[in-house]
Amino acid sequence: MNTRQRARLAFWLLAPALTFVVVLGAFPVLSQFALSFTKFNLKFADERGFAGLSNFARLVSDGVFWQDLGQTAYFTVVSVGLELVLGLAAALLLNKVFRGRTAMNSSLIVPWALPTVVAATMWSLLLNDRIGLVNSVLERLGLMGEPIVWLGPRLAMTSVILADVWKTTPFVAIILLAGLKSIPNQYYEAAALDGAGRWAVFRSITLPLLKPFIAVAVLFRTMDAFRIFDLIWVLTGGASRTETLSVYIYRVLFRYGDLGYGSTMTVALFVIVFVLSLGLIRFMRISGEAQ
Amino acid sequence: MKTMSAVVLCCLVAVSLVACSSQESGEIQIVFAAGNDPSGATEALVDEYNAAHPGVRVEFQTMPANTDTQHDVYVTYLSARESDIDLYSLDVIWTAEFARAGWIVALPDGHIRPDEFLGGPLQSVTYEGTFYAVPWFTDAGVLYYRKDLLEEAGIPVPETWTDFRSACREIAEPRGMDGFVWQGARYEGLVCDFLEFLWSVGGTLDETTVVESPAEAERGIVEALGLMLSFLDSGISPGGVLTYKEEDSRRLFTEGQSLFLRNWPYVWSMAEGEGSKIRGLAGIAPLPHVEGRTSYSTIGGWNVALSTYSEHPDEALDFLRFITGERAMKKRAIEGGYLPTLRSTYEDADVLAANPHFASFFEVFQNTRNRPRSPHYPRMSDIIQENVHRVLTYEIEPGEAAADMVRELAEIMAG
Repeated sequence: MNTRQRARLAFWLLAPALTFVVVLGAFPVLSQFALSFTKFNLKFADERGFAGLSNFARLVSDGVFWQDLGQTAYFTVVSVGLELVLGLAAALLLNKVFRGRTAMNSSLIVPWALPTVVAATMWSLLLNDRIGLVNSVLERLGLMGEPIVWLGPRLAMTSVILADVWKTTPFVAIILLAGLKSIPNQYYEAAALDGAGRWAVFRSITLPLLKPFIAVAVLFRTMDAFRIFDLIWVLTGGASRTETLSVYIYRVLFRYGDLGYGSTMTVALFVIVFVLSLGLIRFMRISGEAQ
Repeated sequence: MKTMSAVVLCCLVAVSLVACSSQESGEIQIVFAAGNDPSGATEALVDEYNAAHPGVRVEFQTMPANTDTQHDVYVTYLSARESDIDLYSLDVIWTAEFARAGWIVALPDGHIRPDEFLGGPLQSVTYEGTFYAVPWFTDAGVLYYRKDLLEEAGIPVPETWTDFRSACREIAEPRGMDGFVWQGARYEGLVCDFLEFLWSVGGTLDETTVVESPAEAERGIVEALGLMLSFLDSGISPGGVLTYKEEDSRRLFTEGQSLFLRNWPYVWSMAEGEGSKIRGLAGIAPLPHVEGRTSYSTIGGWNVALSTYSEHPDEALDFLRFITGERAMKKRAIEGGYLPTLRSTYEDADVLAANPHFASFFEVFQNTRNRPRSPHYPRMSDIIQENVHRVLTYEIEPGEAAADMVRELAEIMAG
């Protein structure tokens, strides 16, 4: 086989995969863009037409969109921040050799392995103010007077964040654990010879070498957190200022059948997540070069 | 080239697998999509119909239990012109939406004899003066109370909110129980509860009132919200009510932790069933109202409609007549406890023997009202839910919520 034949074969072998990428990736994104310029409601299909930029004008003046964007950002920053700190702590702990680590490793992964909807339903039962386990434990410990309404107006967002932290900290921990494993032991031995303290070792060896892994974890988690839907849908339905953009988009697209405006918001969410990811990747590269 | 033909072969196999999924058979197939019936009565009826109609095979397809999910699944099917499903069971609030979208067809003249049905359910199948579905079973909000505790205290079942509140204070408070639990989570159930409170103070969300005299509509809303807040502020209702759906509130009542409960008729058999701590101790009554007004119950329940995309409309209509007919209603009432929409079924001796409480429900059903009937209902529902819930969580004042609600609803109603 000469080079040309090989190239042609390679193209044909890649063709199915490319087709999938185009059909499942590019096509939906492009058709969303196209839809965002139309007036199109599934239930009023006869009124379909070109809408120009009116959907985007509506987006700018849509208070719910901006409020939900703020809530989504808050959820993302707090939950990813907590997951990073706790995940790092867990990874450091697991990286120490001690007995029963295999059991620890596998039990750690359980929350992450559960489907989110199942985990969310479980949390909504645990957090129920009257029959929930959390309140009954608090009551038995004598720490609670009136039952705490975890999913009520004051604590709803906090509870949602805690459920998310419980669920996805393992993901961060495992990525960081892989990172810790990749750091050669010689560095630590050398540091020990030089008489470096624990904090110094952590700051000058562990953290810098772990940075690429932290960046990957943060990137994945941020993208996921920004699109959070199922957890909130089950726990609060978006009540008490916990509605995120995905929940609002779902309402508009599926409950109202408004494909035009729903697509406009999807495009906005796409752009936000895209820019955010690019920013994180760039930050990652810069901090990588700095070493 | 061998490799090349292998690639092509793979593609061919994939295509033929997709193409194989359709099959041929001599009999006409009718698919009826509805929520699960745990009693098995519906399935038995379908089997019975199939046995009596050779050449037609009806298949009962169970849909997701969650109402909102079912709605969204149907919207997806029907906007894709799905022809596999012939008959859909629809929540009473969907008729206008599905009819306006052209997804369900107007029933032929004479298919429904109006005087045979209960008024509320019949209104729910009507869109622009035409019947688009047949009422299948009904539901309405009722007040459950603890017969034993009221009798012990010598207090009659309260008819006004004033008496209701003092009953809560006298009986529930000293016992450390909750006075009244209802559905206050932000979801469709909140709309049902809110409307009942609204009607009980003489308010309304009728199109004419909302569009033409918004100030009057706002007054009613403010009063209803004040009533709901008074339950929370006085501790008659626990703070958790704002996160409760039907089952959360039902559990507190059947656990004996609440004096009153607003819920749907299904609770009755659970209160009387095994595992209930209040067997034989519960009573049913119409909801209370403000002095000089009347209370109304929000209508729930389901209707059956014929899909526009059905390929066998005549056969489907025949089955529709059967499954919403007297015989089916009776069987489903006796075995499944489903509340009939036909008036005559409430007088049937067998039905009453199996469900003695139907007589009290029939009384409640005399004063029922529908939620707004509009193709834009999902949006209207969200507007109501959001504004009510934000008041109950002290995010905004009742006056502000009422003004927002009326303005937004009027915009939609006026088109």
